[in-house]
Amino acid sequence: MKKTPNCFWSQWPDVSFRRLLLPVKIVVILLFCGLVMPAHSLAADNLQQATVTGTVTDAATGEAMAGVNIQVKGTTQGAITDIAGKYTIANVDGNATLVFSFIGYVTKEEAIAGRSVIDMALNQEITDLDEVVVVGYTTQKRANVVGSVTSLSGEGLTQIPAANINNAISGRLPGTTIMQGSGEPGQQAPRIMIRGRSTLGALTDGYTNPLIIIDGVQGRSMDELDPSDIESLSVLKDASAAIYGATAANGVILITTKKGQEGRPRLNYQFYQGFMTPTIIPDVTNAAEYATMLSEYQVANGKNRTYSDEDIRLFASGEDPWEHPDTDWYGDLIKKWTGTAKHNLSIDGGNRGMTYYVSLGYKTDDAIYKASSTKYKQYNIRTKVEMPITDWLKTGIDVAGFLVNRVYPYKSADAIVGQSTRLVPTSWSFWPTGEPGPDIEYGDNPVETSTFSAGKNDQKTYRLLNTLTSTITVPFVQGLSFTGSFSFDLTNYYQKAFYQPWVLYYPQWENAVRNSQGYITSMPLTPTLRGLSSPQNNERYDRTINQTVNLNAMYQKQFGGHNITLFAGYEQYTNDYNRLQGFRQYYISSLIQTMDAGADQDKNTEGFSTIYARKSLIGRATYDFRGKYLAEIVFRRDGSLKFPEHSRWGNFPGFLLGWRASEEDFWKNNLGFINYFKLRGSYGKMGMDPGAAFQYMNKFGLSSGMVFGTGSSIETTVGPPSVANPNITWETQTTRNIGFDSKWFNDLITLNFDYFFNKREDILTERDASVPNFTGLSLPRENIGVVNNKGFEIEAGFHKSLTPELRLDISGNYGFARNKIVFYDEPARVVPWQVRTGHPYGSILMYNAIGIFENEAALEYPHWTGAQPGDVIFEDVSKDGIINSDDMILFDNTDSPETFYGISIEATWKDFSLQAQIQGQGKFLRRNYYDNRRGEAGNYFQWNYDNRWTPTNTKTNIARAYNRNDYYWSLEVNDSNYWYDNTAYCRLKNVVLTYTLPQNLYRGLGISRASVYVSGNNVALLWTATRKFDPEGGGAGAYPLLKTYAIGANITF
Amino acid sequence: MKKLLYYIIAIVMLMLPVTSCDDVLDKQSVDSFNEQVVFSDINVVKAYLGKCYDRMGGNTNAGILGMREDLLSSATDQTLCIHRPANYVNLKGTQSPDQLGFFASNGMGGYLRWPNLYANIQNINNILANIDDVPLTAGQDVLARRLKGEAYFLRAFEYATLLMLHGGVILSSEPWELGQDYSTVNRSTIAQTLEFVLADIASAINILKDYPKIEQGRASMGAAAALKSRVLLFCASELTNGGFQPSNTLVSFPAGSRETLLQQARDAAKDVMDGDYGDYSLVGSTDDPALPLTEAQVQAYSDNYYSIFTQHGKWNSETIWAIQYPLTGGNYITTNRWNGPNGYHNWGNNGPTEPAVRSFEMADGTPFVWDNGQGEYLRTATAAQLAADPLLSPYNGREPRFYAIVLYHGAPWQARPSDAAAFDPYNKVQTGSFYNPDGSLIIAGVDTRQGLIEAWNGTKSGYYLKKLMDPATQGQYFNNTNHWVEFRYAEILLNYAEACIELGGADLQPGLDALNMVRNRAGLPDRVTDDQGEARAFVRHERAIEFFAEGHRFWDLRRWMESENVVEDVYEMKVREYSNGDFEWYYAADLSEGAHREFARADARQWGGDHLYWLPIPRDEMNKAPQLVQNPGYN
Repeated sequence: MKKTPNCFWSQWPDVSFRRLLLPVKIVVILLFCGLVMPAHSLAADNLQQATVTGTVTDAATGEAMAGVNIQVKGTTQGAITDIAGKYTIANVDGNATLVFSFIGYVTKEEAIAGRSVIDMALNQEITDLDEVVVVGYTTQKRANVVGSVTSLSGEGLTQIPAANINNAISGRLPGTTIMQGSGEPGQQAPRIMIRGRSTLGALTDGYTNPLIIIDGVQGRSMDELDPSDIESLSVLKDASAAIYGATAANGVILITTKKGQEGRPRLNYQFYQGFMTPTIIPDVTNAAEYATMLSEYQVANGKNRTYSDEDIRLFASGEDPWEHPDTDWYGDLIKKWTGTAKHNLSIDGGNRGMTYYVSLGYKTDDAIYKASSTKYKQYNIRTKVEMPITDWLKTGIDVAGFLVNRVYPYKSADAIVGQSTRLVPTSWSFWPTGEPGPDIEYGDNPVETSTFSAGKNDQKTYRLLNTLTSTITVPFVQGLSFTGSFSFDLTNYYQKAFYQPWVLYYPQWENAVRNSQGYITSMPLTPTLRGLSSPQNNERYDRTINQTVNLNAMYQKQFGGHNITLFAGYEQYTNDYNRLQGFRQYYISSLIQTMDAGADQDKNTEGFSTIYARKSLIGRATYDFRGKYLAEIVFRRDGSLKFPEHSRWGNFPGFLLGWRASEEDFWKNNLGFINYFKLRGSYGKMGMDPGAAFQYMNKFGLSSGMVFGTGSSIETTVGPPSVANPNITWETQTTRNIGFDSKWFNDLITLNFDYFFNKREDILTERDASVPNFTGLSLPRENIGVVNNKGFEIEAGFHKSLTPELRLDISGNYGFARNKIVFYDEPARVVPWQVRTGHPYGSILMYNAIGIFENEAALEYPHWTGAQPGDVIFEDVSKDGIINSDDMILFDNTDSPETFYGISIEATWKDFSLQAQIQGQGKFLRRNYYDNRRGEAGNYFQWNYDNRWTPTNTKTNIARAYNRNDYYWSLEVNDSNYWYDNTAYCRLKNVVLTYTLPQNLYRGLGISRASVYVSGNNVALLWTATRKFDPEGGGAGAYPLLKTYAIGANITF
Repeated sequence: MKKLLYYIIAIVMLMLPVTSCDDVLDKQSVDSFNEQVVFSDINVVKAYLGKCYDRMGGNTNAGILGMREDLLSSATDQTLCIHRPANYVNLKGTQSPDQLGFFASNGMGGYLRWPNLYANIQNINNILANIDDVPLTAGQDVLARRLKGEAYFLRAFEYATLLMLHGGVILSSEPWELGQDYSTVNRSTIAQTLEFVLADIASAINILKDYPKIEQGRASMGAAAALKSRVLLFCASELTNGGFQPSNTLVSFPAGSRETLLQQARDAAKDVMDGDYGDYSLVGSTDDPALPLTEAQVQAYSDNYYSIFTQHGKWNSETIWAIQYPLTGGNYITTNRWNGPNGYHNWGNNGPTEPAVRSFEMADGTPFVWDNGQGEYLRTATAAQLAADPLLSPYNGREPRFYAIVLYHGAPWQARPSDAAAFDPYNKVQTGSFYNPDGSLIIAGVDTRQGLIEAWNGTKSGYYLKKLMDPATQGQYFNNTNHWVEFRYAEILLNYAEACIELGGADLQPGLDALNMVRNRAGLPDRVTDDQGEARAFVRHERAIEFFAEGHRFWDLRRWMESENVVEDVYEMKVREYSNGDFEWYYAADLSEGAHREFARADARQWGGDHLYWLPIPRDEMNKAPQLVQNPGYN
């Protein structure tokens, strides 16, 4: 295939160090220029004394400011502005710096640099109480927010080298659990839960996912968002989410992207280059250990030994690599370091009410495989333009485009990384002469299947997000405006997976050349095609169209300390998804990969489509009196396509009250050390409409199944029907929240607290107990389940400038949420301890492993037939002297951790700033094996080997050598907590150390600010309950989580 | 004024996207449809019925009926499932309402399951309840009536399966609906259940007799008649007639019913033999063979028998009803991959056990005798002895079906895949290993658990199952396309033979005649006896061999109540092939440690009592419907 550069990006250097070079060069040049040029100008102007004059204004209003203090830095020389904002300082050193300060305004420093007129605009100091928080359709000042809303500004996220934005915000948002499952490029979308789980249903069905709204539009991907484009992020956790009604019960994440700021064009360039290495690699036994353990098993069970003592000796000694290899599969598969990089270039500005923001981004993420096959590349562009057409009509255009390219080898990460823990070390990854060795089965030799020799799976996502907005500010009625917006989001996905057989090398033992000791010194190998019988091609097109229309009116009125805001809107959302897929095989050659080159025989086409739509009426009324008494009502009425006409519409109100007690006189007089205290309470109802549409009718699907006729033709079949639930409707959640925000000792300490109680009713679940199987009814999900979810969040902070040059901000958050199944139509249980009602969702029923049978005598304890010393003891819970299914008990904490916490530290000292996040989770049980093929068919983990039971090591908690499908070890019948580990952990998630280069280095280059930084993601596990595998990742067989170190720069022109 | 106009225009434009839309909430589903659509067009009903075929036997996987990764015959003494032996709880003595293993797991078993069988009955009842109201165009009534006949057959098949598993079950000829009162529903007696099944069969035959030329794969009157023969023989056997809990009407017929049931079973088979339901015949010659057979003749008989299970396309005359599989798309089976030797990158499941292998006769119809003076564990032969007497090898001189059913050490099979070719210069199955005359190992056979290819898939019993595999299919890459034969004429003959023999007296000889047709076709001489007991042993033996691995053994052992005699530990049959041509075959013993012999069990088995002859109602169901009466012996 001819390689054509179809876009300029493909010209970018590909090798990571070269990719690094370009930005490094820029920085070096900048530094060089910065150092040399000012030095030159300095020499010329060195001793000049001059008079400096100027006017100081308020940056926001442009009005002159009187009484501003201006001081020559490092001296007592200075002046104060007059009523017209003017000042004069005589006899100033031309190289000195002026410091402008005024209470309530941000102090500014300005180098004189030989000028005689220096005008200055000061910005009002924005405390976080003035910070604007997005609360859904509108914004509020932090001080006026009554709901439980967490927010985050996009600043500070850009420097963290995490491929997915979600992994950069983990631990920063109280009450939000973010768990990264995999480090595989392009597969790093984490599992996000807000305040734990309040519903039933498997994760994979998305029943616990929060609603994500980006720039007011549902259905946009958070995973691809360029952190540089993020202005702010808010999480609505309580009744405040009721503004999103029927889909808000799991909480809402609102993201707002940046828009331009008025002023001259501002160019910003950011980049980092990251270096990644796995956090923890699960340990497996080496060849001698594996052979030893397997032999123990075989001897104990009267089977032939596969490996003799001599074999074991040779595996250990390494003197016979041809016949006694000691393969480190994981080590041979992965490289120590791999790369990731991100670049972003943005320009913004505007004047006379018109603003623009344009950004270009590029992100790449490489696999940890030595073969460097798997790759993630993303190009994104974003344009936001706002322009006034008349003085009462303003329009905005917002266009974002994404090109995402994921490339994977034929075998999945599971079959590559996971199998590396399974492949036996007594087999060959590479022969001593370098050729890839034989497979374990299915052609699985990860060192080869991680390359493209078996073909590749090339997935491209093209996304175009468009929003048009118009706002009418009605001139006759002060405070009234109308806004209409229309979004059209188009996603095209194209996948081409062309696979072919690959070559592995098989031994010719009979032709081996042996030395005098009998060891093979060389051997011819037979290249053999494995894996697939012939080349095959699978192509798939998906198209998704999301359309959102929103019309709303807003009215604001202030009178006598009363502030009223009214908002009403109408919204319509539609989603339309189509897929078409084609398959052909028996290609004459893998060199011709077009669809038509495949054979006609056994070709296949498939298609699929879904639709979704929602209509909504939205309202909000807020009232406050002097910012002291706050009240808010939100309301939404939603109609969903998923439900039948009579149960289609639902009403979702929310009521919120706040009292800023610290404004009261009695407080100021008695509790003044708490300088800010706001009590908040809310109550609301929200919904969730999970699952497929049209469950209100008996649904028949199509499939191709039976073959009829002498020609053996495949006949399309329909059914079986899923029984309708004609009354299907929302899940409804009642949310109660009470909390306070407080600041102590003049903002030194912040302390916020929230307690919540969610009761989710009408949860869609099967009427399991009441309908016997003999009816043959495949039960619909009905709105019958009830789950309670309670918990709290604490957020505490310490903020202080210790010296004028050293500032410290430390904040920590801790969230706890525990759910309890109140009702799910559970069938009767034989024994009470297996009743799931009352437990959290997802509890696993399994045996309780209480130790290892030490010896024959220990086998007096009830056990299964065939148990031997060294086997796991299952607790006889029923105390009936036999071990059967009645002895299984429920283990909680297997769905998600109940606690999730984070600590953020920000320290600035002179031009340095340090940012760090510590993040962790509480008890969470996860399986510590990857598959059940250990033993004859797979390697053991090191934790199965170390301190295992043997006839001479009997006092231990590790079982004897076992084999996967022996009755006692058949995981299908004996799942027990022996196989589970607590994955509680605390980790240093992110660290960023930034140095802002002194301005005099680059003044004159047009650069207004430049900084360089080093940063890290998943930096260190500070504490973890298990070190067998990364507690946060997907377990022992998952693609490892990666630790990333990066260096980067941020330059603004 | 002009300004006002602007406002109006602006607001109208804002409204435009909304008002111009149809109501987005009132849409038809794009990925599915409802029963109104299904029952508006008889062709869609046909497709719905196609799904019911798909789910026969309570299937949820791609394989249908007996063709699956873990064969039903592995729930008997015939074969051993090496990957999930713990799931065959009836052989472990652990079968209980909580532990149904193979009969409950969603995985590789997943058929013969209570919920799935009832789910399909619900589908069929749905069709039967609505099919008469489907609007038809001219000529479609022919199809509509036929589909109804097929539906009766399918319902009869599902209820017959439930009967044979559980005894008397809950009967309904109407679809169930949500909201009905299920709490008073209970099981019918086994007699009522049989009556229900027979009535459906009669309805099916009554319609399908008008459709002699029916699409291959669709239920025919012949299939219905064959089902009738099968279910009647089951009901006429010892288990349901005084053998176990005679007074429990869920699992036993009233005292004195047996004679009538046997007559019914006999007549049902006889009707098929008389050609009332189509022309069926055994494939191959049914003449009494002239003994001794030459090697080529043995091979020819073997190939003829084997061909029944490797049919593609049009069925032969023996096939009454079968399931077909495509190569890609839809249902699929990978028999070769499931059962083939690991040395072909296959999974080595369902290997025949040594006792089953020993039960094959010699080519002259005499029983095989293992012990030639060396005891029950060991058999040896030097190269010279073998040359003089080939029958010293246990695998020489056996009856023709042996060579169609079993892959033993030395058996010919497919060409090896390229990467395995180097390990097999002889092009034969290697379930044994190769030794130097001094006893040192040269190399473990490539198809053993010590072999160089995917050893964990190596046989544990020392054999692989050849029958059902297609020699033209490369199992590691491709699906199988040979049919699964559910009803074949040989079953009718042996059903008839057994009913006759059990009736005894004047029926005995016609029974033996039918039995001998099956034997002669297989190249074996007639059985001659006038002793009912001996005849019974003959027919039971013949069923075991003729239907090897087809699953009949599971039903047969239960209705004969034979399990307690045959459930025993399974050991590995080991073969040592010496480079000088000597052989050693040994069973249940390990020679690898020199003189020291210890037993290496491949699978520990244990019979747990007569109640295991019936499957319990699953615990889950008992919890949902506590009014149901559980089968005897289960709590």
